Amino acid sequence: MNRVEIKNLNKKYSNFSLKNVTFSIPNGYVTGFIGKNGMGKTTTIKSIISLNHYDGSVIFSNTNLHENFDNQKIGVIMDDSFLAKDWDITLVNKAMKVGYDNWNEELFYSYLIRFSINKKMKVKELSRGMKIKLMLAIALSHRAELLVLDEPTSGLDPSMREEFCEIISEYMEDENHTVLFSTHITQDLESIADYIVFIDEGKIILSLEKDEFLEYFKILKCDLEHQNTINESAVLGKKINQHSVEFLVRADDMKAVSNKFIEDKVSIDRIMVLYGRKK
Amino acid sequence: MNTIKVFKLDLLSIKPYLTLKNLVIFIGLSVIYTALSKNPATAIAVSQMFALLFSSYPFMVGEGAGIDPLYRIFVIEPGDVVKGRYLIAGAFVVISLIFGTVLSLIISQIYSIKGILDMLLLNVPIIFLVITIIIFLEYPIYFKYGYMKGRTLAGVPFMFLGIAFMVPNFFPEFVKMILKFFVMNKGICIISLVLIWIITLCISYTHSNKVYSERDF
Repeated sequence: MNRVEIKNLNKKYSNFSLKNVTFSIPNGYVTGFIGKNGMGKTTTIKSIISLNHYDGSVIFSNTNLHENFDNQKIGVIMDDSFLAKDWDITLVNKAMKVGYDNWNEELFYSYLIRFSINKKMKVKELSRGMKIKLMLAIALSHRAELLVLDEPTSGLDPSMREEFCEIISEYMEDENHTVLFSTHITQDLESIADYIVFIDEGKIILSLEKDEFLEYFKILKCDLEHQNTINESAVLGKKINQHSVEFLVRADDMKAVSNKFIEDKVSIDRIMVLYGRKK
Repeated sequence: MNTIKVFKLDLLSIKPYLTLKNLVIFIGLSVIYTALSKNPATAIAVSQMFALLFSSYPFMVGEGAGIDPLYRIFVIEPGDVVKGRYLIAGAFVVISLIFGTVLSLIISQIYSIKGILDMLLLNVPIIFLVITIIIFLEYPIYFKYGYMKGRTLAGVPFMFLGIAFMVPNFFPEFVKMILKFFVMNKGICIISLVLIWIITLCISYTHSNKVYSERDF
């Protein structure tokens, strides 16, 4: 069962457009949303949470958000905190109490203690990591069933990133919870994602279960002199180094690999680096 | 219900700026200007400057922190945000008018100024209408462009106000004639003002609603 179904999502800007974006977010799993910067991740997310106008449909728990604007069950963590900078935590709590129908004040304060966030601090005094934790505490305190995370770990140090991923894993212990995790720090997804959706230039390239996603590609390396021996139609991207060339290919198109090539380990990171690259 | 939510949230968003320091500045300025002009109506005028200032604060704070997307996340329809903002502007004007009126009454007692009640009965409704009309002109600009971009354009109503004050110098006879007409026909004068107020409110609200509903965040 899918928690969210995005169908034929189109959004046009003067210099960029989303083109028929279609994918699903399965219920009870973490879906990683990957793509380079400026490829449409944030625009897609903004459409999911109704922050922009779009063509197409976003169906959340069998309800079309275009027709029935109801996303209180969605918790959002974006680059911007959406909180007044001069609010202290008490005012944040008051605002959330007004805004969310299912706000749980006690739970919120318990998360603040857990995350070591001082109630007297103002939003503007919080570090980036603290702000993310505050947003997480908010998302978890209004009983969100879907967490939409847009680059939550960028700018965090490794220990804070790990702590963040641990909290997400804990959240996922409830089988009714679902996460869409957009990031270009793909190491985070290696550990917690179950599905991967890959977007490039406003189009969904691939949407698969994580292991299938990794198996879909092969990374081949060869000397510079052998680079022209590869079947060009199978190549999805390449990187020319000083003495060697790296190719990203579709695994199905390259079942038999010539001995002039060696297979390298496939990772989400390498796929993103190589995909669409021409030199 | 969501309009009240917006009202409360906007109030919370500007709460950090509704400080004792600002209240002291407001009272201090009102007292100084009124003492200098020896006109209790000055207290009302100064209070309205504060009302104008605070009515733009939800836009300023909202833009700085990206609070408008938060309202969408709370599932508040754009129409309710617009209604809530007009409601809070109205509340600011009324509260500051009450404040200004009380202050001018106190000052008139201190300076033993007579006829204060007649003056208030004439000035308070007119100031209310003028200030709210200025807000009605400003709000669609803020809703369309946000606070930073709209700030310059929002100065246009003040420019018109300035021009309106200069007009009598260029057409003294014509203005005298009009004033005389209104003095002779107070009923028509009041009805005209109220009509202008209602028309401005309707146009302003409709336009704000339209532009805000079309905005992406």
